Amino acid sequence: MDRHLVARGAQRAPFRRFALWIAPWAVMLVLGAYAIYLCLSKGLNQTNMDNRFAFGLWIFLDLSIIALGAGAFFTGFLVYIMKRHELRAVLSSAVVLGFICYSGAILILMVDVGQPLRAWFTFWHPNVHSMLTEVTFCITCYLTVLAIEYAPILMKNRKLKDIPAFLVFEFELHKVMPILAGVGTFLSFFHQGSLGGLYGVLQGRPFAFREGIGIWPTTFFLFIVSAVAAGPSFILLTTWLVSKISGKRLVTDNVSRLLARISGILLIVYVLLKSVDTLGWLNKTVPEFGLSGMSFFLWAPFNVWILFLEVVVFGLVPALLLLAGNKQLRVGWLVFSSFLVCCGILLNRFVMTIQTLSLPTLPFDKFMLYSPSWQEVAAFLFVVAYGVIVYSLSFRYLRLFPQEAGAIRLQGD
Amino acid sequence: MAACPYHARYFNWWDPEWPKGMEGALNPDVAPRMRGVVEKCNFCFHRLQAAREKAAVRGARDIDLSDYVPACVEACPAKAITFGDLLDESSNVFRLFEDGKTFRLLENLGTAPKVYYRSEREWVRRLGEEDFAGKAERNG
Repeated sequence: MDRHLVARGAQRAPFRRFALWIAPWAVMLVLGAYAIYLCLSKGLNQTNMDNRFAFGLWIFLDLSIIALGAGAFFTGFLVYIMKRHELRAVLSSAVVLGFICYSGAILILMVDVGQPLRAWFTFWHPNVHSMLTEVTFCITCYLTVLAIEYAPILMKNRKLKDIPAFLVFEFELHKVMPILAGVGTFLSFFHQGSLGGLYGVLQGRPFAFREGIGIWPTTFFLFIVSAVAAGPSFILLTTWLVSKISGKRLVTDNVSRLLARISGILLIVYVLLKSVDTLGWLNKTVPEFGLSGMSFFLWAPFNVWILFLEVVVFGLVPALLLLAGNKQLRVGWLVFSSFLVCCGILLNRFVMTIQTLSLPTLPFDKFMLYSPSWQEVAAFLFVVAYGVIVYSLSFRYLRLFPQEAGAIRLQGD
Repeated sequence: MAACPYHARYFNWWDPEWPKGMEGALNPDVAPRMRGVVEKCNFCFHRLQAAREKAAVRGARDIDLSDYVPACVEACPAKAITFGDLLDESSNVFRLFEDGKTFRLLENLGTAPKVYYRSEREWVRRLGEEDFAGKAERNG
């Protein structure tokens, strides 16, 4: 019933099957919308956060999806600035993913801010000494850039193409894409960095505090490098997932291998920097506070294993697999490595947010853990469902993968 | 809030409520903060403002120190809290600071809090800088 909207030459599942796929996500979206309504109307007392645990599941979600969304700016940077044109095969998909990640992050921040009707204060009365101000400005500007980058993809829809003005607009937009890619890269570098810097400047939280260069703590740089390392991995992983779910080959293996190689190179740099940073923190920063570095890892469940998991299992191992094996290994292994990379970035953002706040600071403090309320979980799932639905609609009605035309069918559709 | 290791910032999770008839007991100089706003002790800034206004009426630039003490200092029946200017060497607070029995919580972190505590006992003073390992031991 919607054949006339599907791109020419693209084969898509019957509408009924597509509707069945969307239905559970739509239920999740409605439940999440109700939870968001509760939080906006009754306030943040609907959450399990408290004065001690003021950063919770939502901040973890924000940091994670902004890091994963880095694939959008980085792919744009590689295609338009570094001229790696083979990555055009995933560029549109990367833009849609970036748009979903950033709009999802801003949406959840609106709920998390406590006084959503005053959210504009951050623009009108900015605290110029706050890393968060830079983050707010950059992610808002970058979401605008992503929306402009999304527009030509949207206008390639079979029906929208019939409107001549859209065709002209799309053509004109293509001319400014390299500029937008440059602007996106500039903005992304700063807000990815400032999100890390936000933790690094916490003088009163020695677990997160880091020294650095000038006003920028090392976490500023680590967040940038980790995000650009995870971005291509997330694109590789999502492309594989979409390919499996839709039953179509969407990109050629050399594109997957190129993404794997880029991710691997950047990840090895990140693991190296992270190791140097951790050793410096353990042996210099923390002792200067009169503390012992390993004392931060005495608290179950955040023992040394979490550091090992983050740096070795989710860092060094996938980096070596992606780098050394990107020519020899099957694409499946590269996808598995990308999955480990994405787990690593999630764990890193979890550690920076939750472990930092769990550790006691005052002499009479206790170690604390927090578990989110159902409203927090539902709002979290809202963003996931929103992402899946927007991506599914985009995949169905827009041409996200140019190499898909004339593609080899992998399974029955 | 996440940055403060002293947990000295409080988020207003709920709308402020008070029993009917108690409106008259509200301080007219301080607006009750609404839900969704973070607050912390500001050493009764409204009292400082009042002292400044009083000084301005007198035509003076500096306030009379006796015009400004936070409410907790005034209300404490044991007179356990001393408030003043540490830079003023003639002040009572400076005299107390000088005797070596004062300490600050987490002074080793370099957060430079403006609240000092006093104790005759050295082990209490040392607690302010305790290592995480000690806390882990006590927490089991």
